[in-house]
Amino acid sequence: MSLLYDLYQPGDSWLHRLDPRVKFIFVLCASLLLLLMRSLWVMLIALVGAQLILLSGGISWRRIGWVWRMTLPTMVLIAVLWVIFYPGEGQALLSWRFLRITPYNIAEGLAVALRIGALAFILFIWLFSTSQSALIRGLVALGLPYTWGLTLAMALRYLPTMAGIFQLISDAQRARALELDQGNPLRRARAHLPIVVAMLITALRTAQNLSLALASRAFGAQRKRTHLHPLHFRPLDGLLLAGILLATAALLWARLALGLGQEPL
Amino acid sequence: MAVIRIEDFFYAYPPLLPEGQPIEVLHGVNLSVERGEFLAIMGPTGVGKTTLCLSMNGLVPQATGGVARGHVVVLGHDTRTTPVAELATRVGIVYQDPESQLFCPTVEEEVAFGPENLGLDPAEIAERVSWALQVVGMEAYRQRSPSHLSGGQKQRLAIAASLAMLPKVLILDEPTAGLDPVGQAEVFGVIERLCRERRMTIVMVSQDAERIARFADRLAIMWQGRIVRVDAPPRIFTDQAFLEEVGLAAPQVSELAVALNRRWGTGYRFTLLEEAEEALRRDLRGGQISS
Ligand SMILES: Nc1ncnc2c1ncn2[C@@H]1O[C@H](COP(=O)(O)OP(=O)(O)OP(=O)(O)O)[C@@H](O)[C@H]1O
Ligand SMILES: [Mg+2]
Repeated sequence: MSLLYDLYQPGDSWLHRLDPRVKFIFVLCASLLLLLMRSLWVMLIALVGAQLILLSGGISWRRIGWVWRMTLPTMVLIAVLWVIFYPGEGQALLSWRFLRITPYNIAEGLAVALRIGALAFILFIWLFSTSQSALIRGLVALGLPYTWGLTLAMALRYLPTMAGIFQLISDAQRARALELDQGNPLRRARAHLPIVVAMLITALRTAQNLSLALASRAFGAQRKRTHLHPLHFRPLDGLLLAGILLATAALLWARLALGLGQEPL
Repeated sequence: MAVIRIEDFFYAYPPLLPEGQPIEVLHGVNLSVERGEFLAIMGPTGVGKTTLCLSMNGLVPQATGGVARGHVVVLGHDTRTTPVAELATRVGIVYQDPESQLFCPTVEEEVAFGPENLGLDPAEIAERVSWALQVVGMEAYRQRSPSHLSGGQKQRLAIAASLAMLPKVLILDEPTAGLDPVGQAEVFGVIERLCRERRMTIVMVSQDAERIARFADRLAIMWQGRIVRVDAPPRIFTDQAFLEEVGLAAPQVSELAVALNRRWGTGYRFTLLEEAEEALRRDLRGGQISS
């Protein structure tokens, strides 16, 4: 649970030192390619590659395991449902009523499932190795308006606070005999209403105080903002970025012109 | 020269509903704060202490709207017309709720936020961050997340974040309310250092009579939307009739003095523990009071 609020793993590996913009562009390019391809082998390569990148970047097994725990149930579910509901072509391994299991649809289901995992791991390459502020500075440097970046940062910052407040209010209401886990779902949802109202009021007050606090620290001064740690785009970042873009272009061409990775097997 | 000059300041918040009445809070406040002084403000809840603080950095009325009359002048700038972002480099403010004034992912970024808004260059920002964190004794926490700090540390960080703007005046609105005794002592330790070592002008709202008696140069009492009295803390804290009228509590030793005076007809006027100890020891030895 706590990992969800604190994805970044501090460190000084090559992955950490990489410019956050390069990492973000890598996520975009890799995701685009994965979404265009359906090959089981491509998905396997991406998944293994992502693990290698994470490990060489000093990301802990705990974090990698956490992603697996989050994605694995979905992956299994998708693979199973795919095999059941998309009857495959070719020779059937098993055929019963509408069920038709073939090597082809097993491969297809696996590919679709592994793609979910690969996409998640590629996203977490960026999230695990980039501090929240570098992440947002990177997005802002790529053209996101600063106020949006700040809003995003604050949303992330106050998520745990709000969760804590929710817990606090629930406990307080329970102490006054509010029953939260009794009855049917509708009743339970209704029982949460007083908590939601109290949360809303707290959130509004926090937001109001926050806007005052921002203003009293010269937010919105009519000057160009600077940063304590400016982003440094090193030659190595440039090299890597060029590599990523070239590889993406080449693979894109191979996919579209030569049909690379078009089929599950 | 007065650093802050408030003259006949009247303020009403805009009505909460469109057809409603404006909410009158300040009814002609007069107050002046001298350079390098530590002025404390006390008053019952809802009397408008926070509103007064906000008027000193322009958020009232610039951010809150409503109706304002009279003047609040800080270092020669009228806070009703000078942009808040500009005032922010002269007046630092620390609010009561630590949670909603610390919004950055790390301690150092929290302190850097203000200077970054001013567009200073990174070297200058880094220098200010180090300096401000050192003043409040938080250098060791640079990379921590503010939400993982203790209450006292959070408020010290909020002070550092204000100091990084190099203000001449620091306003603190009940910075120790809701802190445990350790946190309260930490925060007062920092404030005392700013006073003694840097001669910073400090305005602090607080209900901590003991510490006001110990540290503040003057105490202003707010009552029904006005400042009704400004005086040296010992003189206010020994004026029982006045305190009762405005519903405020004196430090406990002052209440002890009142009780002793009532019992034995003595004329004690102490507000600090040391003073009480000295006077009582002297008189017990001299045989002036005995059971
Ligand atoms: N944004 C607002 N809009 C309308 N009314 C407000 C607003 N903020 C405060 N008030 C009202 O103004 C009055 C004074 O509030 P203020 O917060 O300044 O008092 P305070 O002395 O700081 O109180 P406390 O001891 O609770 O901190 C209160 O009656 C309050 O309800
Ligand atoms: Mg207040």
